[in-house]
Parts: sequence; C-alpha cells; structure tokens
Amino acid sequence: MDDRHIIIASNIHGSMTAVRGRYLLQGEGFELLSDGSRRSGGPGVEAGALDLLVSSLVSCALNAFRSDFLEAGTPDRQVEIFARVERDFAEDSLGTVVMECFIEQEDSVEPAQLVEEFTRRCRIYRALRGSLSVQFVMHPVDGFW
Amino acid sequence: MLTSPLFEAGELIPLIAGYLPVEISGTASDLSDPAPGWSIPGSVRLDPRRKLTGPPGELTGAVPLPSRRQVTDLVAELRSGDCQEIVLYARTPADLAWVTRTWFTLRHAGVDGVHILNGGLTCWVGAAGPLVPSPAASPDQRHQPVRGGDTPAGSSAFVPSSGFPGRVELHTVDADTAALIAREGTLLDARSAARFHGDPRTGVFGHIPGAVHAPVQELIGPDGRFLPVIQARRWFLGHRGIGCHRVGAYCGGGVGSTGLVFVASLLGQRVDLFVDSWSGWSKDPERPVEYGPGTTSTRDDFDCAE
Repeated sequence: MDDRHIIIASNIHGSMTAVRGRYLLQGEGFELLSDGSRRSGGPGVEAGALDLLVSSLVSCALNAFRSDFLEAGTPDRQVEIFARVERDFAEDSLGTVVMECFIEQEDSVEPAQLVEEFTRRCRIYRALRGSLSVQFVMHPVDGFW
Repeated sequence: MLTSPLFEAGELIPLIAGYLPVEISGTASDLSDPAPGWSIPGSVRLDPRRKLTGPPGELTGAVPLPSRRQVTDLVAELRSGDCQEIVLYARTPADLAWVTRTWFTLRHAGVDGVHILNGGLTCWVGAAGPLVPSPAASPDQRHQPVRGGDTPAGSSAFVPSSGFPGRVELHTVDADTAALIAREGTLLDARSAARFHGDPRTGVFGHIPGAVHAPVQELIGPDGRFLPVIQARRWFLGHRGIGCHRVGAYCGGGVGSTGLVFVASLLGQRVDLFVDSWSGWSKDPERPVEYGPGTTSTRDDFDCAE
C-alpha cells in the first residue's frame, strides 16, 4: 500500500468533435473548444495549445494580483492583463511571454512586490519557467502624457 | 523648453513665445471653429494638402508624400524667424488628421523639433490661451508673438529639441510589405467600420487581408485630445499593436492613419505607414480584398508539427 497522499489536482477530458482538428476539453463545471493549427490541418480559430498555456499564466496572475498582500475584507484590486508571446521567427522555442499588467489599487503594495510574490509562489509559472521566458510590464492606471 | 512631441495647452501657454505655432486648417467656415478669425500668437497658417503632398501617380495612393526637398524648403520658410521649434495645431477637431500627417511628413523627412498641441485650438481657447487675429494662409505672413498684456512672457531663445526617451524611427512601406505585415505582424486599418467591412456584393471598400480594424477616432477623447497614455497603451495592446513584431498602419489615403503612428511613437512603439493606403491598394485589381470584421487570430501557426 502506497502511503503517499495523492490527490487529483486537475481532471480534463479531451475528445474529438465533428470538425477535423477541433477538440472539446471538459473539466468539472466547464468545457471549451481548442483547435489544432492550420498547418497541422486544424481550423486554427479556437484557442490553440499555446493560447491555453498563456491563458493559464494570465489566469494565475489575475488571481494573485487582485488580492495578494491584502487583508481580509479589503476590496480586490482591479487588474487587467494583456499577454503576448514574442518569438523570433527563426527560433524553435516558444518565445517570451510579455505580460502587460494594469493594476488599479488603493493599497500601497508595490507592483514589484506583487510580481516577486507571484513568481515565488505560482506553481504554473514555476513549472514553465525552465523553458519559457516570462516578462512582466507593470503599468500605473493613472498615467497621462 | 518642452521636449515631448505632444504639448498640453496649459504647459505651452507660458512658453509660446519660444515656439513657432503652425496652424493646420481646412474649412475656415467650419462651425466647430472655436475662435473664428483668431489664432495662437505668432502663428503661421499652413495648408498641407497644397504644400506637403506629392503628385498622385498611376500606381500611387491619393495623397503621396512630398519630396524631401519640398519639405526642407517649406521648413526653411517657416523657420525664417527666431523660433525653430514647431508646434502644429488643429484649427478645428476635423483638422487633426492633417496635423498628424504634417508631423509625420516633417519627421520622416528628418526635420527635428516638431511638436503637436494636444486638443489644438479648442483646448488652447479652453485653457484661456491668448489669441490674435488669424494670419493669412502663407508662411511668409507671420504674425509677431504678442508680448505683455495677457500673454505670459516666454523665452524666444532657440534650444534644440533633445527628443524624448523612447523616440522611434518613422518608416513607410509599400503594398507588398503591408501585405506581409498583415500576415506576419499587425497591420492596423484606421478607417471606419463601414469602410473596413466593405460590401462584397458591390466590391466597394473592404480591407487588406489580415488587417486589424483599429479606427483612429477611438484614440481621440471627447475633448479632442488624445487619450491618456495608459488608455492609449491599452487600446494598442487590444489591437495587437504593441510588441517587438512588425506593426504597420494604413487608412484611405495615408492621412488619418498617421494618428496611429503618432500615438504609437509616444508609447515607444514603431508603426510603419503604408502611405498609398487603400486608395493605392484598390487601384490594382489583382490585390486581394477581405470583407467583414476580419480575423482576430494572433497565431502564426506554430505548433509541434515538423
């Protein structure tokens, strides 16, 4: 008997659809479509694998930045993130994820602190960082020319 | 001396004597004229449609750029006085497109020290800036800056512009390169939705395949000023116009889209201008046209397939 305490942290069911190269991804309480690239014969319209990968980082960051270091009962920060992957066309690597973050906050936590905490704690980020470069660009929301 | 390419009326008013205001105006009888018959002190009036365009050719767009010589001659004429730093301003909100086009034309020809007054004459009047009777439409009929009275004194000494951090280069592209940018980068279409979508039944308008609809009017606030920097950056990010990839812009004739180029330059983002724009693209029946809302995909078909 294995005495490790194993849990199932994610449970996704993937299946084909009527559209060639389009897949249905289902988890508990959600489902979404994902497309293979046009180059591989897929439609290339719905979220691709890279989109899903970047989306997981964006989702983690939104969740962390909205409330990290805030005391219970404090209103969440308003966070908006534009993420893109920049890759040299000649390179075979995934490239660099640039996350431009706009945070509206009333607390005094520095954006650098939020990033530091995120990169220290986020398991998704830590799992990816070996092969994926991630840059954070933090913006104030009250900037003027 | 201010160094940003974009001035606010409030910061320029006390310094106006050190600058050469150049009024860009189209229809003098425009009902939106904020001060009919009056202008910023020291102004010269410039009609860039007449003075800063080249002759349209068989294969060019409707509004080609002028020759470099044409530009340098005009600037020498404008700068015949003490003031070397040029501030372009729109007489009415409708003139803004030609303000940014003039900025692009001058800067692309290598002219330094060219600025834009945010919100033009409307915001100048709103900020209680001094006014004098309007000049005639010729650079050599310069009005002398008003000194004293209700005009704050300012320095008239020439201080070369030091540019601003993140200043970007200005480039133009031809139709083939614009098509390439649409495929591999981001090509911004600054026109209205009706023009961008077009009508496939009649073949009227439409857009370059792969272009992103990015109407330049969305970058202008209700007061006629450009959106604040953070809003503008969000806007460009939302239209895939920020990044190390190649970004281009076009419109109907290469005028309105210079607004995109200008604001992007303030953000440190290079955006290349397809000057011939739709008026040039649509001259060649062999060039493909896409109708409707266009694609929003950012993917370059990268996957694990060999």
